[in-house]
Amino acid sequence: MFPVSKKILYWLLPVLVAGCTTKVARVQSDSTIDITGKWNDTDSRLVAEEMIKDCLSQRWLYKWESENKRPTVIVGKIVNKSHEHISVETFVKDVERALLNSGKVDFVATKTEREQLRDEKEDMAENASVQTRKDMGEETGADLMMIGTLNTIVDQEGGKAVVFYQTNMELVEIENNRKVWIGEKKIKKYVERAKTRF
Amino acid sequence: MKNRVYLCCFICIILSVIISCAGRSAMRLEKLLDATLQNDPLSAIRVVKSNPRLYGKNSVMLYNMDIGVLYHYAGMYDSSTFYLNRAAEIYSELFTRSVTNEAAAIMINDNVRPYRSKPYELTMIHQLLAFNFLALGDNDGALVETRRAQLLFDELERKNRADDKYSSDGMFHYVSSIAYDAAGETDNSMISLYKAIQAFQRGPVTLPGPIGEFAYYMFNKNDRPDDNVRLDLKPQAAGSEIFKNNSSEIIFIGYAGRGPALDESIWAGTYVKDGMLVVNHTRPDGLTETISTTAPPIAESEMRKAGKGKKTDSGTTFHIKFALPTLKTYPSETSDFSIRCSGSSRSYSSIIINDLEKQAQKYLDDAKNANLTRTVARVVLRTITAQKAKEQVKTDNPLANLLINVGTDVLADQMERADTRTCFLLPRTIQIARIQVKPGTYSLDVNARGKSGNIVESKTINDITVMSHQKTFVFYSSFR
Repeated sequence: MFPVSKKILYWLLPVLVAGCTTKVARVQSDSTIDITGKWNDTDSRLVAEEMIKDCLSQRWLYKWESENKRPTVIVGKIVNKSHEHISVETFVKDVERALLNSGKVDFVATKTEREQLRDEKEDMAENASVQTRKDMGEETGADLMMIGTLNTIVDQEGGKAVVFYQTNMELVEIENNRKVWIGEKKIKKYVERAKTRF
Repeated sequence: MKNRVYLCCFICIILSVIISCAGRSAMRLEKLLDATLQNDPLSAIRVVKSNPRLYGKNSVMLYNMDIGVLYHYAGMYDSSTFYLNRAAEIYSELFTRSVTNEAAAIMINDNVRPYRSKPYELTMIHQLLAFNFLALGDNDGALVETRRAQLLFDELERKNRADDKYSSDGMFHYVSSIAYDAAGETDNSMISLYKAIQAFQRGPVTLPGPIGEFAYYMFNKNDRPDDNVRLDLKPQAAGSEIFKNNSSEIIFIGYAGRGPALDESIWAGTYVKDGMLVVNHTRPDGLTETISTTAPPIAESEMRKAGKGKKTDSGTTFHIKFALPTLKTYPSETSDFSIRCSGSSRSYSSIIINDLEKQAQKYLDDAKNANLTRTVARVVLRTITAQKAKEQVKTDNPLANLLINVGTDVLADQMERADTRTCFLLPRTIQIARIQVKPGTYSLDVNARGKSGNIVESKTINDITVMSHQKTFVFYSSFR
């Protein structure tokens, strides 16, 4: 019979080997998994959902609906004033997609996107056929600009921190600078890091 | 017999750990020296990436920081950002300390602990990240780094409230004030400028005169005269340049000279059990430094033994040797930079906003007591353990006894290695020159100058585009 120490090793070996392999598990895209306490996809999704719900239910749309028009919106700068490098595009694109697909709002290309389109039109002017080329000076002007800010307040001591995120998005009429809608989403997290481990 | 076998195995394992840890810093320095001196960061990156064993698994943070710094020098800012961010993340992960690892460090040396960087190195990570974003015209990204670093400074201040240790950085706050100004956030810009002046006044980097004058002028201009009183700033010298809020500028950042590395200083002396410790060290200038300190007081049990007339170990002496890190500096030809901008006959001189030699020396001075206490406790514990081990494995063979005893002594001796890990790729000084311009495209003629004003190196930087209210950052390295 094996000595006790060899028996233990015999049973432990598969466990040790199994513990060393990489594990992958596919999860739902809307599942909530917090690993580091930093801004993640769940936060982005929560912000987008709140903004979409609020934006489509507020009175600013009535003006356009009563005139049987759809307002044209351009996405401006969403300023990140937080302490983390956050890709604000993830929730801005969600909001843009939901508003566009609702059929109530039109969007036009942003400044960066327009530059690409203008380059393409310049190229067409030289190279495309007369019937298919697109003319310069036919762009649609926007009625409203969507801008916003993302701020954080951090209260931290040692391994404990309370992080507060506030995201604000606004719609501003380009012609007269009037703000017609302000949306807001607040998220608060408590993060605790262990001081020691084995 | 079993004890002897176990002791021999233990010695072999520990020696293999020591051999793998020992001398990594020196080997790394040797391999990267040439490429750094010739200002060839891409070659240095190749050396680092093809020799990860020069760092080992305990210095992953340093590995990423070194590559990030080198990519920054090479002007590859996206790559630099990737590696520097990785270094910052590893630092965050290392907040949680491993109990077994700390225990191993008590018996072996500090090189078995994961490298967490010095506080000023961590600031440099965020500073270089901010520079990367500024170089790419991403002012918002640079301000995120400002806020990340501010959390670090707040935590350092909380820990070091009672003493004068590093908890703020003049250069970082000064550059942040420029970034806030570029974003049109005048209040935040003035607050950062205030913090910069405070940090410079605390040291170790002296407040540059032109920055003091600039701050005095800007605080008055922005309706903050009380800040001048609190900081004891003096009025501007006649002829000083007038700045406006949110003006268009070219910001020149120059890296001058080779930054410091760390070396070992060997201390040797006598430990009197339950009595005191007296150790000496010979400095490079030939003078001898001595540390005399009380060892742990006589234990109760030993007092009782003595009282009963029994044999006691108190008063027995051991020869001990340990190593502490010490600063190693390199002479540098480059003293400062002179810059001429196209479209102007004026010559600008750079000013020092950070001195990594002074930062490193201050760190060593601040950490000396803690290092010494930890090192002495480790060496004393190891000495006593080695003595007991030798007593346990006495054989009837004098030669075997000799081998075991010598092996144990050599092992204890070789285990003692100072932690000399540091990012020696940082420059000796970081310097700045601010050039106000109208929006347009410019070129800069840069001369790296020696102490007597002689030109060490020159370069022309072309196609510098400055938009309205924008600060365009340009970087230049002279490590000679």
